Amino acid sequence: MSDFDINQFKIELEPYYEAQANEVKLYSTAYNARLPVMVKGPTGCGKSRFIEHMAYQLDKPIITVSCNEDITASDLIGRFLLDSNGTRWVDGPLTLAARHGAICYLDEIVEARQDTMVVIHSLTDHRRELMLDKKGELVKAHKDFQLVISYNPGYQSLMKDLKQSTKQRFTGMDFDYAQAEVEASIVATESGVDMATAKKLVQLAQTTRNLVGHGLDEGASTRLLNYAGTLIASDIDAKEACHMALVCPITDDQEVRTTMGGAIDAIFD
Amino acid sequence: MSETVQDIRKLDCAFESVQEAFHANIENAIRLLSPTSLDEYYKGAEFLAKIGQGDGLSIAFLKVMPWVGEYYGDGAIQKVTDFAYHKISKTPNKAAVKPFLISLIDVIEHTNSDQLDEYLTLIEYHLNQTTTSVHGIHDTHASPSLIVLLKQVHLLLEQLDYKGIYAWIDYGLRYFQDHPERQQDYFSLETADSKAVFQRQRKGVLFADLERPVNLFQQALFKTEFMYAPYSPDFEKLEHFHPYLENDIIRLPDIYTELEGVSACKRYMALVAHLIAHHRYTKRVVADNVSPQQRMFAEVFEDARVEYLIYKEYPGFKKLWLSLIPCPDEDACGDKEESCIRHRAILLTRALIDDNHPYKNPQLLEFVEKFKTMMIEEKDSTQECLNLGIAYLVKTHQLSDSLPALYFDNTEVSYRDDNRSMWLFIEAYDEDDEIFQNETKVEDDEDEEVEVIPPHYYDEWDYAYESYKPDWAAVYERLHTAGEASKIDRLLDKHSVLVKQLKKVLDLLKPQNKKRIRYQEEGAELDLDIALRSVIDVKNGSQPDTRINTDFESDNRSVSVLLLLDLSESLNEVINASGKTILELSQEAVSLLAWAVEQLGDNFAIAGFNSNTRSQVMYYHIKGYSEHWDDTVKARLADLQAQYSTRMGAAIRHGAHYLDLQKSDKKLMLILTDGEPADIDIHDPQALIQDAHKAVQEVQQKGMYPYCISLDKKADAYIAKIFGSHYSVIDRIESLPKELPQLFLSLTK
Repeated sequence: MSDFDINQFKIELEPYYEAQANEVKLYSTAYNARLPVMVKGPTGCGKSRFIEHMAYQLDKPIITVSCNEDITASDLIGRFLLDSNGTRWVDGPLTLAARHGAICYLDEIVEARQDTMVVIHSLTDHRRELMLDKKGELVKAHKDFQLVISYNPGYQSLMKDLKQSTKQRFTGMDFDYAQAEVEASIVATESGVDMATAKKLVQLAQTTRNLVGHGLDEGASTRLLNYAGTLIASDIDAKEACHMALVCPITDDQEVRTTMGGAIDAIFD
Repeated sequence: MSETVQDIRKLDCAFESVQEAFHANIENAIRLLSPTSLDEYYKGAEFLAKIGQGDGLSIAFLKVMPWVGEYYGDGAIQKVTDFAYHKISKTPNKAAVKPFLISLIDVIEHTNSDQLDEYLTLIEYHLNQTTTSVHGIHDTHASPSLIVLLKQVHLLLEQLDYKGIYAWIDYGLRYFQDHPERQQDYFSLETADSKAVFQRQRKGVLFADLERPVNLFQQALFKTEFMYAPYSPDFEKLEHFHPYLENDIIRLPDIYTELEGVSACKRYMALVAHLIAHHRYTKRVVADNVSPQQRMFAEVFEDARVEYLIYKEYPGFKKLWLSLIPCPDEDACGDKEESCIRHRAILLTRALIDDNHPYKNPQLLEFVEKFKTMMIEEKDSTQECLNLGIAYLVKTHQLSDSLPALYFDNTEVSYRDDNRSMWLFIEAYDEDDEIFQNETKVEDDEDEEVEVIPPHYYDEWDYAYESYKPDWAAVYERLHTAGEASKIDRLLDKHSVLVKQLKKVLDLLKPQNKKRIRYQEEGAELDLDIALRSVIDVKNGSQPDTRINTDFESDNRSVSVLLLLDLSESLNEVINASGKTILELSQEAVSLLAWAVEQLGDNFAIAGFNSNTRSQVMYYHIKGYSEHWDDTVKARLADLQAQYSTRMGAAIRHGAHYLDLQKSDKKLMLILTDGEPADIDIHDPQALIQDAHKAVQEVQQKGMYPYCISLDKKADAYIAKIFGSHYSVIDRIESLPKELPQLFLSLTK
């Protein structure tokens, strides 16, 4: 166990992140007090990027778990595996983070079943400890350990929500797509297109966001804009790039696509 | 052309009146026709005067043919003469020859010069189909509708292509061939049916088909949600409409064809964007002291201004709008005989938007420059546009501007509105007599006392002709009357044994969330924890657990069910053994089913239907999806009455409309009926069976699962034709209460 190097989870290059408000300060303060944090926001608006950015800023390792329906408590805590000598205990990501002092980031936590997530409870309140019942060990959380979860309220349905008892163990931060100017500069920086094209891409994204609830569940994300920008920067025709990156992925509804085609024609000369 | 009046050959005809008409038209004919055609012209006129139809034919012929000969070329006049004689005059339709000749004027206007044959074939087709014989092989009765059809030629050719005209004619023939008066009504475009079919065949794309994309476009780009009220400007040509936006409603044409390579959808987008541009940027200015001509030019500047502001934001619109603005020649309009004011306006319109316009007129260029300066300096306003418009008119004013003849060619911009949003007419508000207005209002209120829900119209399938009859069946939806709820409770008590049996089945079916099942011998994947435990057990030398897999079961019941009850007269039949009517048994069965479904918590609705001809298909609401199985519902069910006939297709379509709106994975439509679809206005027993079959197909295409429970012992003869394999026939009707819920449960297991 002792040869384990938690520093492999450190982020080496600074992830690009453009602050929208005082979220950096809010998060740093929460981290200093080791408060668990939940970040909410539409897909592709920069939640994960923000957490990575903060981990880099604070110089802490970060262990990310993408949650899914099949995730079990042992997938988080750890399990016995077999080797030549018999069985061997292997820590799960949550245990690793708690033992060695990393930020544990549970991405899209609502995708996991509600019952599974109850295992994090003891780590998120005053106890800050994790019971490994199979192994019979009580892990006291490292002083640097912090738990962060993210979820997208857009997905919320009756089936997919957090238990109240889980929700009420976190502080929350709302994320949304950046202001048009900021978003354009993000797209320009990330994808390498010029600022004018980036502005047009943002304008197009806003038209899709206006359609939320009228045929679209969510508008085009900043991530998709970066894809479109990358395509354009690689000399693909702007309209084709927009179709490939911004229309095709988000809808199969032919009429919405017609509308989007009209919007692309209106925005790109 | 060299022939002078003296050289004109004489027309061999004894009718004075024909000779008069000849002299009136011959110069025109000589001017327009080639020698060959002129020869045909003479021959035709002489011939038609000699076939015993009086002088009228020749007179009409002399008037019309010069243009026909000129437009369609040599041989055309001969063709028309032959057609008139052999195809029309020799049949009982002699009276139609003259209207036929006159109709050619319209035909010239709307066809290409090689399409004369197509037109003649069309007329021949209609004539052959509608001219009937009573006895034997010879046609004896004139076509009742040919003459009225000929009067509609103008409209038909203008709005429909040939395929559409044939479809329209075929529809009329199909239904009214044996009914002369109604045939006449149909072909004179007077009946609602006729108009409806006509509409469907029109060239272009209906707004109704594009409404959603256009609406989404509006929301996406401008975040506005204006409603639409399409009008049909070409259909009656009563008024020359322009689109406009008023009271948050956009009035626009109900159909657009492709124009200059711009698709109908794009044209609607161009239109909506222009209207919203006005809505955003136009401020009303007082119009009372501005002449119509001044207004016209002010509007040109204002249109250009608001469009400039829009394409500053969305540059793509510039290209779209430009492709819809005509670009006429600068000197297309000679100043002498007609007013060129519209021509000047369109040149200006073009020049204000198009940076590469070809125009050289210095005044025009000066004002374009002024406009651009104003826009760049952002000193623009509607008032400023009015000033520019007035100044431009003063600078370019010509004496000919007030001539009555107006140069109109190629000067219209189809997507622009009538700019009513720009003007404020103060006078119009002056003289309202408010006292009387109030009085009339009171009367209006009294008129609207009874609120009637209008019917829903559904198409009906006509199997013989393989097409839909548009808006054929009127479905009235009504709440079913209520009776005593306790009656249903008594019925349920009677079946208490059955209820207990059902309860057991229901418990097994109760919805549970998707679940991981552990400890399986066989399953989707290895359960590592248990597998490890087993391995450790093996190593320890103890008996391992072999159930090391996990499996997943999704028994999410996401089911919506619609139960459609046939409430036709035949349900009042008494079943021999029990002395109960089919209706009573149905009530019992439905009560049990409703109770069972309520236990399961599925989304469940009950409706009944019957029909009394296509104009009155009743659809009774008994239980809605959101209603619970309570006393109000039971009371409605207790009061079921059976009457009239079974027009199943319309009811299925209406039921499907609501079922489709339910958000469930599985949608089940149960149809409980005791006989085949039939109605008193349909004599062909196959017609409604085929229609019901079509309705079932439509429902399946929408992802619903129709299933029929038939109580008709002879149902095997037709039921498979309607429902394919989705049906059960219950032979012992007495067992219905038991079978219906079980059938449902097995369907949804």
